[in-house]
Amino acid sequence: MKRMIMLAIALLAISIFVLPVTLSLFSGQHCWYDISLQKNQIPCKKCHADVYEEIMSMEPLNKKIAGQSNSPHSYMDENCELCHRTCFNMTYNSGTGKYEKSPGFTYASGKDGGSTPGVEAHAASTIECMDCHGIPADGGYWNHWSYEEYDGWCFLCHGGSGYYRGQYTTIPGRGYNDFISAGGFGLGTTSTDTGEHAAHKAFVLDSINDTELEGSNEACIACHTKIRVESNFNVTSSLMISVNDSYNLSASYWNVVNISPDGYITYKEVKEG
Amino acid sequence: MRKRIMILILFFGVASLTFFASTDVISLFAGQHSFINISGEGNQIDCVACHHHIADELNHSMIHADLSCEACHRFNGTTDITFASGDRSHSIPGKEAHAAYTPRCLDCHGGNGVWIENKTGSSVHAPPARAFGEGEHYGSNYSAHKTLVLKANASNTSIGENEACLVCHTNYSCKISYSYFYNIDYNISNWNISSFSFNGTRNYDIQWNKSGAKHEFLKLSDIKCTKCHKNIYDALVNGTSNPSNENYLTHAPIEIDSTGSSKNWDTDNPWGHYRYHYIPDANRTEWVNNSYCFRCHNVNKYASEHSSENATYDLGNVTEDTNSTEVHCAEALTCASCHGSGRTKEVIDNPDGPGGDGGGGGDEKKGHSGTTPDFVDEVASNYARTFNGDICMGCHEAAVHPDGNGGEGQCSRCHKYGNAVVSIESEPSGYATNT
Repeated sequence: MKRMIMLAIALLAISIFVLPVTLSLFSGQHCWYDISLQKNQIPCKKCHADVYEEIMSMEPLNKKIAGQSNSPHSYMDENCELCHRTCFNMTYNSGTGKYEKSPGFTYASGKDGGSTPGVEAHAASTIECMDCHGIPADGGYWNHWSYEEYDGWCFLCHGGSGYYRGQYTTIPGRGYNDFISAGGFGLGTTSTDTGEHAAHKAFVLDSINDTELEGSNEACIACHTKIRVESNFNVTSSLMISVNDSYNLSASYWNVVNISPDGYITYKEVKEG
Repeated sequence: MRKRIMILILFFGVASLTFFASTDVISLFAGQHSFINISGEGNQIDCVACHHHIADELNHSMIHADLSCEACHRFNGTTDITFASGDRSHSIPGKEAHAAYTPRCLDCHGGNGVWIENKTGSSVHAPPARAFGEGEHYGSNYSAHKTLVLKANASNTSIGENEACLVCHTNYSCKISYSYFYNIDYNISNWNISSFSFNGTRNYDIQWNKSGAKHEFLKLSDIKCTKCHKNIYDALVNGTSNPSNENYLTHAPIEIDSTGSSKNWDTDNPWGHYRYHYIPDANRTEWVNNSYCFRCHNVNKYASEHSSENATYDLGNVTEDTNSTEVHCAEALTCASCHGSGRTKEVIDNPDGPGGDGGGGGDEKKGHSGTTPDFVDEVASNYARTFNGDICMGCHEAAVHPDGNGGEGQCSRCHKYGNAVVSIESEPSGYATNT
């Protein structure tokens, strides 16, 4: 018993010696990031590691560094701001049925020691895919080539050369005109975008009207990403055809007066993620 | 007490670990930042991932099962559609369609058809939809189903005229509501028709229940004429229904001659072969099929598929009398197409009819052969096509004609003098009186 008391006293003494500071919850909370430099210094992936992992899973890193990836998004693994602090902003006009250019958002920024308070968004915005993929051309509207978040990153979207993860990398050129326009839905992404035969146009328009995600994103990510998709289909399975024999004494013809859907079948489709 | 302390320590331990491990933000819609690389040649978006059901239909299809989704839905061989593509490093924005379009069947099956690549890389030919694939007017007006195609093109249930294609060529189900005359009455005097009238309305509904699968394409032999034209099937298989099921059939005319001692309409005739149109009672359910329909409504097809009968019935020349080479599957025709004046099968005298006084004073074998103007042509010229068949059937329905050898003394009424008072119902009942 005496030995136990002695041991406890010794441990207490050592503890008092080595733990002179106050025990804090959330250590590091007073270690502020310096956001006074150009571009974003907040490490998005600290909180969004899962998103980072998804983008990193698209292409092997060595392939990207070798400039062999033709998947533009794969190069945005550490450049979230290219999308989520974009200057581009396209807005769907239900009157015209087209996406139209809109002023970009003002994001919060601490560049050059001063600060810019965010207006429509602080650190990041939830974007529409069509913000970038619905653009016919910048045309001097946003002057995105001089936008500070994009400065030096031209090659990541357009192809060309630059420093990616600290290594000089050359990515195959992708051009500048209509090079990422999601044409074919008649949404005005290019001057020739009629979409008159698009099979999925209703899906895109319904996505625009749906508020779950921004704009048409439900449709875009359903097909273009590995997200899990569950669809309930209700499709026609039968036609009703009304046929009247039209006749007088000397002439007749079979007049098909109506064709309309008559029956439906429903089924569920699951695209696994 | 000790146990409680242990539980408390365990609780704090688990809570600490949970707190430590759950500092990441939980994302909704996991996977939305894992973009599919579409820079390779062809399509990398997996259509089947969202369209298993259609893929399954196609796998069970008798036709088109060897085709990929892209072969039809990204086809631009005749449509000049620019689809979106990310092939190689440059992307092509879509113009008329993005990922896929809803094709018209005639995009591939119009004109002379097209060659497309199937799943195995082989080039396969999409055959032309004869007549219907010929320009904006869908070929000749002799095609029996042309009005269906025209209406399908005007309706908006499917793209273009696809409704018409799907309803016959796939497992898409259909209901058809027909409306037509109930019966006709007419008198014949010296082979001139008078007092013709059409009466009443017959409504006949059919239902061809299939699986409903639009991507299950049927082989041609599985397209059953009688499914949509069940009124005619019922007439041919069940016989006339008024007053009872009698052994004679509307829509299956017989050549009128002596039935001989056997009193059979099938083989007992002067030509020594089966009659072209008549179906013996025992063979009704088996013989009333597409092939039977084609005997009249597509002579060209029937002749090409039945070489021996081609020779027996001189179908090569009969084909030239018809317009069957200008139709899709069936010709809208009248009896006069084959039996009018100057046609290969124009009406002839009964070769074994009584040459003398068979009870009617002679010339009983003549009938209306050689009448001036030709009786059959007159019917075709003066009466609507819809009535033509029944006008003829008023006499040529087997049981309307007395089956005795010699006609029990009635021969001359028709055969010599061309007199008859006829009433005949439309299909399926087809009941007729001829006095």
